[in-house]
Amino acid sequence: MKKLACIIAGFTLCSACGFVACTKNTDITVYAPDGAPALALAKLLKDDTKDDGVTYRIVNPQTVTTMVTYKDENKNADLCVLPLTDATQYLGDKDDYKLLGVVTHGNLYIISQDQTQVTDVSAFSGEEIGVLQLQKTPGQVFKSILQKNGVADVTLTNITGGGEVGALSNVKYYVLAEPAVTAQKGKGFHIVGNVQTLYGGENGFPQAVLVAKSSVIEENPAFIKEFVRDVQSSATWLATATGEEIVSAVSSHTENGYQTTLKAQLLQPQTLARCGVYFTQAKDAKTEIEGFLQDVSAIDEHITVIPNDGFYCLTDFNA
Amino acid sequence: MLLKKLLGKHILLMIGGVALLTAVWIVAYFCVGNDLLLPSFGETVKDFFLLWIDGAFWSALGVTLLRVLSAFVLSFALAVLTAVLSYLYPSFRAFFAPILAVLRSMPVLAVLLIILVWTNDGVAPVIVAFLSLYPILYTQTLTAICGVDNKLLQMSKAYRVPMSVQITKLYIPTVAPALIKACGLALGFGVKLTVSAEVLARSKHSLGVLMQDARGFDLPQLFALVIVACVLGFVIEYAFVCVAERMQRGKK
Repeated sequence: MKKLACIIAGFTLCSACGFVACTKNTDITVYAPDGAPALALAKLLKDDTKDDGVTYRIVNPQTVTTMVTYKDENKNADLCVLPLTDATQYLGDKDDYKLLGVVTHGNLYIISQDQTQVTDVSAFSGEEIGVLQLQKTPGQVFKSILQKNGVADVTLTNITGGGEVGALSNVKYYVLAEPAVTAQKGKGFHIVGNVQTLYGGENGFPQAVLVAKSSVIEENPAFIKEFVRDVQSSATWLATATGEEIVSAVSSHTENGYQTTLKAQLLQPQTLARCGVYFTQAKDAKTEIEGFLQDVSAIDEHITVIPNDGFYCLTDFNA
Repeated sequence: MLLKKLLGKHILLMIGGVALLTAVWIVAYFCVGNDLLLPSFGETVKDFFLLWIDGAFWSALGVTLLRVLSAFVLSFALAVLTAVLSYLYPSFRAFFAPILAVLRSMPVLAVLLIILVWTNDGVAPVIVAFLSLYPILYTQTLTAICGVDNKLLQMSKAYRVPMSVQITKLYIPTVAPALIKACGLALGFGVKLTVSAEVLARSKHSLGVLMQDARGFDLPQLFALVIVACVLGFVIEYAFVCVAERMQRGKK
């Protein structure tokens, strides 16, 4: 009897494993962080259906990079939007992923309760400035701006979000990202500077990028081409979409109970325009990306990887 | 033999415990398979040792320890004073009981957010640590004082032993081991609490802010800093417990 029970238990266990293996999800997985990068995929999220073979997930920005760094490549996202510096740092010297293009070009603004516009970086001399994610791209860009303009006596303090704006004593200016910037207007803050303009790039700077597994690009070239074109048109769609449509699309694709920080009432056309959401193919953005990485590596010792040409997917998706 | 003398007869068991934790970490590392979620034990140990040759780390460690010590000294002084008053005057103990209950049940890390508005990121962790350590030290001190043998006290009164002699020859030797142990526990807890408060408050030049900075890009260093805080708390607590036990053995 005992022997029979063991055989039945073993058979049941094997069947269950087999069933799970057979029903493993074979959808292409696309991950993006909440915030402006999620806006870049908003139309795709809105048009997403259950049987289109693509699974989208919007995640906490602090965890998105972990979606491409598993040792077991089956656990990694097939496509992922993540900060450029993370993409190059963790993927730039490997062959597993290729960069398809830039999805956001800077959405950082300087805000203050003093309405005087800042057009000269020397205005920050002697000041303490609260900077969003000081150790990441926003901090790196701002430090680069200060260094290029020879402004050294500035105290930079890290903030993690809009909730800390106004809470730090002695801080006159804050560097924050849209759409959180718009939320601060109700607290008496005004936009007094544009980080993209101060950085000096004609089109801002490459902030978030879209990467895809090399194997997915090789095995599904038509899908990749169509996906990139959809991302391009998604940026155009944003100009006419309502805040409710956007938030509904994003919040229906969050993972593990995560709540999006996007608020419908803040996603007005002027705010969306300041989010810097438009797609540039890798072949057109390569020079700009390399220039940006050289700039930030000069001020941040943690940026050590400048990717080689093999990291860029130089296909012309518009051909 | 020296290790056994320093750490006690259970040294092998303690090493076994550490070995188990390490084994769990290594197994978990291979199961998770993502360095950004759980760094390797080897990388973390390497960063742990690299910290000790970093001047910025020593500066941050010094500032954090100063905060812990400040909070502890304030808590200890007030705890001894109020415990003595509670011992001598039951009416004071009754009056003080609800205040103590509030301090014990206060969610101090949440209260930190209020304290930050009133003070600054340098002072707030000290106040938070004080609010947590004081109730513990007060209770332990009062328990220790109440633990003095009543028969010896009666004998002292009967023989009209001067109060100064009672304090130095009876109260202090009786209370000291328990109080030293309590101080060790409080200091160890104080390290953890102060570092946690520094992380939330982003106190400049502190272990807490080093952890915040490492969070973005250097998980092995973050883990190494956490290990530093754990080791610090353990070493302080263990040192005081050893001293207290030696005193108790010496009395016997």
